[in-house]
Amino acid sequence: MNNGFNPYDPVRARLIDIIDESPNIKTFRLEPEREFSFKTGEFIQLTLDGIGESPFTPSSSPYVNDRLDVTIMKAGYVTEKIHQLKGGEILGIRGPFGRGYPVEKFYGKEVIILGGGCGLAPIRSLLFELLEQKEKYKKVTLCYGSKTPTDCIYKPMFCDLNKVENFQCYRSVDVADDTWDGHVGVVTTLLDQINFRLENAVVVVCGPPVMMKFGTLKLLQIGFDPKDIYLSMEKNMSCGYGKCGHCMLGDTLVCKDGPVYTYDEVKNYDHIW
Amino acid sequence: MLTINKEIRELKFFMEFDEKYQHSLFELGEIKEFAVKEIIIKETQELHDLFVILEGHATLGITVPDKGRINVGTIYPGQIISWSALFKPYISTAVVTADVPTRAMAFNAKKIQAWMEREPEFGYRLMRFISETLSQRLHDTRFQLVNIVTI
Amino acid sequence: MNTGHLLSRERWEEAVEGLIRDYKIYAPVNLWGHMDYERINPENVKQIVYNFPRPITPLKTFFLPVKQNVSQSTVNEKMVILGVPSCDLQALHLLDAIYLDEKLPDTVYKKRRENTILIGSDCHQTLDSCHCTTYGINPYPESNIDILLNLIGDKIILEAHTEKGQDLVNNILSLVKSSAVEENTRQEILAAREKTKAELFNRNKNLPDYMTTGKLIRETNGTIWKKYAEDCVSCGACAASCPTCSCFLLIDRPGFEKIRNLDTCQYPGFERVAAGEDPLKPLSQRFKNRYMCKYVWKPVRYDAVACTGCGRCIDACIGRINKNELIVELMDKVTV
Repeated sequence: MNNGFNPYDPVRARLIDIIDESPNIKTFRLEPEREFSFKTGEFIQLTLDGIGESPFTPSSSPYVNDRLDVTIMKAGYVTEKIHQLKGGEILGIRGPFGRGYPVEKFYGKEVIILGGGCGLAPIRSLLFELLEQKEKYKKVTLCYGSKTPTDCIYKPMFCDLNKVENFQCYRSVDVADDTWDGHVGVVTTLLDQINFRLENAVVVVCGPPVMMKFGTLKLLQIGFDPKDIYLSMEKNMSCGYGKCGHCMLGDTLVCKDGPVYTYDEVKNYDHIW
Repeated sequence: MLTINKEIRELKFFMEFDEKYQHSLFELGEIKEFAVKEIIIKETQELHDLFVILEGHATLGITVPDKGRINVGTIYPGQIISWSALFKPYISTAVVTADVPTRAMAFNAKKIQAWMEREPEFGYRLMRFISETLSQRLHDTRFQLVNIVTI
Repeated sequence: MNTGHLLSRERWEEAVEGLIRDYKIYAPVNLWGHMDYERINPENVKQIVYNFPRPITPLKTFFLPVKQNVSQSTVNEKMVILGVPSCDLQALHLLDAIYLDEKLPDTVYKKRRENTILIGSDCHQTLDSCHCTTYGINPYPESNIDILLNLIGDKIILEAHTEKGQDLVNNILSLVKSSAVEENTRQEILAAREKTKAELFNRNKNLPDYMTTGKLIRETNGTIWKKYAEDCVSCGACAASCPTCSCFLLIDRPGFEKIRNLDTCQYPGFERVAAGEDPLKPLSQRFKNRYMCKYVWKPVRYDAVACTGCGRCIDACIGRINKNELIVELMDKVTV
């Protein structure tokens, strides 16, 4: 693995398509110059040449390795620049890094997914993974919340998923005007509407820190075991493979031991959200 | 006397009570039906009934000057609305509209209050349900508040 | 190995001059009253200071320069670093655990480590802030060296500890005359070791050991951090001078090049994420973070000490924050 391999050297990838998802979220479709495979939930470092690098979890299927979707919210300097891209540009990807979703632990169980905002990006990849071997899971329930109806991403995906046996999707928006006739309320209120057997269910939570915090509190209140709550932790990863120290979370490194942790693994650290 | 099917009996609200109280509740309750977009509770009106949604769902909103109505929550079967009918000053805090044809059971608030005083066990069970509801709504509201202030 | 060779200082200096052709040699030299590593050339070879405690610059900077292009796989020249103190050698346990992780080693660091011959030396003196013995480290090299070198009187004693070291010793012996090490010289080395050790031990008697320090830091509440952080200006000198602080940030250059810049959690924004959340935003949190990292988290994760008691951070602090005073205050609070 070390012969000539430099972990700091990105694989070049061409930007072949840009999909507008919401006013500040776009999906960027990349075609790497060589095969690039990843497991669902692992992350990559995306380089905008000469500008900077940011960590993202791909939102596409882990079963596709000749192209890669990265869904990006305009949030800082690098993402702002990425949003200005027109298509055709060459970007760099390093990775994949980290520990993704341990799907084999979900076999035979009900998988409840709680997603918020741009946190649906890694979840879309996870859903592709779950769909690929859907007979292995008892039931998959997606609860997704966005701030307003226009902030909802991957809109077509919800209809498609609801057609799949044992897959159910619920959407909510924090606030809405009268043109929205769906569920209103923070995403955690969806949990009151769905049926599941607590003792045979696992929950995957991914979203902005505020949502992760309140989501986890609600799940604990419902009675979930901290070991059955899977969280995606966000940190300012730089190197991506455990050297640079930017993503230390107590004695763990988010880029190596995460980004997916169970709540049980992180509950005793300060400032997790 | 209403026909109370199993589905109604198993709603979260009624599950809180044993058969004896369930029976009395059904005797006291009055079924009300609401059409799509029909207002169940007006904002800042004096309340006389406590509602339990039986079927359908309703949206809870608040009218804001210059912005119109902002919807902040959806209420489903087994959940209560108009809990303010039991507490001073008995004025509603939000507007609630049926999203789909919705059935609810209405309980006269004065009678419920008297019952609670008379039978503390019933009172305790109802208060526990209301507290849980309020604690949940407080939790959700905090989540929403933090969401807004961190934008 | 370990039989030892004795050379006169003059012969040794000749040998060093002879090695300059093949190696970049660095050794501690007295620079305006400060001891620091200098590139050795025939002009300054006589100014090398032997058996002195840690130089100003920590050893890590030879393997993790402050700024380095990590995209280019340039072949490093061979390096010899002379007079490395025990504390800095001990720090390599942690750096190696991070950077030479078997699954995904840092190739740039690895190459530098492989191309470097480390010549360690016993400390025959101590500095006020030296406290290696507090953390179970002896003031003489016991690991991570290729060669051990000591100056006793006007004699240099060389002892190879690795094959790489043996090759260099053989090379030296082929250049100049040497003799075997006599028993009384050995005794002198041992006596010097004991003297330094006793001196450090006596001076730092009041300091708790590594484990206890970790426990104190883990269990304290926030007030002590706020108090000491009042004098902190987030300059990062403590981390820059630390032999084990090795966090970095990658900076992008056109052509997909990555520049590794040493970084520290003491700087604002170290943990800031895109959306703006920053758990280390308050200065006192950043201040505390470094202590937690050194005494609580790193030792658990890497099974290596992350503070070797070199004391550089104490000397480097422009706010005159003495971490040992903080630790003693923590201890007093607990025992009261």
